[in-house]
Amino acid sequence: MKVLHVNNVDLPGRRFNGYDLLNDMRSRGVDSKQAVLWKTSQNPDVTTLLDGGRDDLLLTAIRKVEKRHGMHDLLFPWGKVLANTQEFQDADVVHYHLVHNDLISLPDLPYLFSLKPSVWTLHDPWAFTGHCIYPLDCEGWLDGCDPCPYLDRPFAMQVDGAGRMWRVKQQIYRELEVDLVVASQFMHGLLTRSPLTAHFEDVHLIPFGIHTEQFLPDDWRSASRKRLGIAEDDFVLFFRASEIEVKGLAELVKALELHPPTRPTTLLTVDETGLLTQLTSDYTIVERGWVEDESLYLLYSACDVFVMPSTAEAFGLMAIEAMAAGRPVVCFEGTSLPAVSHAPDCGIAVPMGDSVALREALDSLAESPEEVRRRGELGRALATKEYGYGCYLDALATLYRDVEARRR
Amino acid sequence: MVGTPASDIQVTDGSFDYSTPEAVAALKGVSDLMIDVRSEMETGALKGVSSLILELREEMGVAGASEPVMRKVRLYERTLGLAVIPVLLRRGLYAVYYRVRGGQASQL
Repeated sequence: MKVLHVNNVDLPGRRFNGYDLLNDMRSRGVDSKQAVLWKTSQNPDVTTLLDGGRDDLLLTAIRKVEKRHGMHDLLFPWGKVLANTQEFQDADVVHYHLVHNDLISLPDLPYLFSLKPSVWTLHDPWAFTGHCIYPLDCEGWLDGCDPCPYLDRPFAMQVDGAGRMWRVKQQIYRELEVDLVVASQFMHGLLTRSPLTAHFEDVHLIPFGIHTEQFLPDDWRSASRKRLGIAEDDFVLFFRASEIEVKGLAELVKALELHPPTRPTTLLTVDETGLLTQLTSDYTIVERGWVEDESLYLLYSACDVFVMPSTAEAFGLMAIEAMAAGRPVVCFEGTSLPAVSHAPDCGIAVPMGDSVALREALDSLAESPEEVRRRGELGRALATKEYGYGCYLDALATLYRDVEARRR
Repeated sequence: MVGTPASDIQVTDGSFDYSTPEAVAALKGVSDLMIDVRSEMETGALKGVSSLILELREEMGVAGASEPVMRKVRLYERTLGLAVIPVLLRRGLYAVYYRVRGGQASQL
């Protein structure tokens, strides 16, 4: 069977957006292609919907007009362009991913979904809100987003059209015939609570899969530390250093600043650098910048505990990876992470934004290597059982065949 | 021509409710309208307005124009494009607006 994946871009986020499935789903008898706005690979199975500089200008102009009028995803024509592509017409099933990045106008969704059996993965809560990607502590999405107190949150609006966008979504969603996919219990909970999406019956919980067998075994820890220049006996906290607010670095730094560590501690980070200057007197800092998958395995192997202090997270792939590497995960409540990391049995979840509780959890693990080992082993077993890549591919293949048979 | 100059269109941000059932129904036609705008950019307005520049550019190319001059031409072309597109888009928006309100599309 033939499946077309639709996303705004191909390589960035390839593990989520269908790009990796182009090759990997062949083993399940699924011939996949991808349609994107911005093609960054040389892959012949990826086609772009934009036609050069003219479309870039049109897209930029529409984006500005929408922002100025308090709209989001109402005017873009690429859905109709998509429907005219050979790849769309050849597909047995079309799988939509991030449609909200200037890709498809909401009013085009009923039309597109009526043409082909369709699957739509909700990667974040945008589908339930008037404009924002993550509502965080705001509960306006439950009763209309009108007025919106947070217009500056992405996708920002210059005038408050959030209530109108919410009502537009409400009307359009009533017409949709689509199978929805979410990757976590957290997202499933939001979907069933939202007045916009509670009526959907064909909802599937399919966690993203990872190659659990590729993570390094425990006896590599010393070698990994040596390679990274980390002292053998240090307590090592690994986390993502990012200025993106919802990644929660500010809360973690606040926790680490509360008092000096009780034992020598190294802070091992990926992504952005230079964000931990206030901690250099009490901690050893090892910043690796943005790294590819292979290097990440080394980092997971070298750490004792993975900290993921996100204040909003729809899935939490790095938490799963840490579990697969046999490392306990510490996170905040109120996101997908407590359920994904099986807190409190395996992961540890503390109240949202509570830096004192976060620090107590980290100190507790620093003083109890046996607890770290126990939670790590449990995490590895759970990740292998629930988030294996083979299970992920099997679930998608089954879904595609079911959707094709049901909606053809 | 490219239509009503942007300065003549009275834009009031958020002045109409695009969430009414009638407006949502009308919005389903907007992407078709945008496809027309896109097509017009290719074959109509932009090409028509800039035909003199295209000719000039061709002549200059044949004559071996200097790079600074060509840069100015390219900049002018881009500027022209940026000026035209919002006008076309606003026409699209107002077409929807008047379709929802009814009967005044001729004022575009």
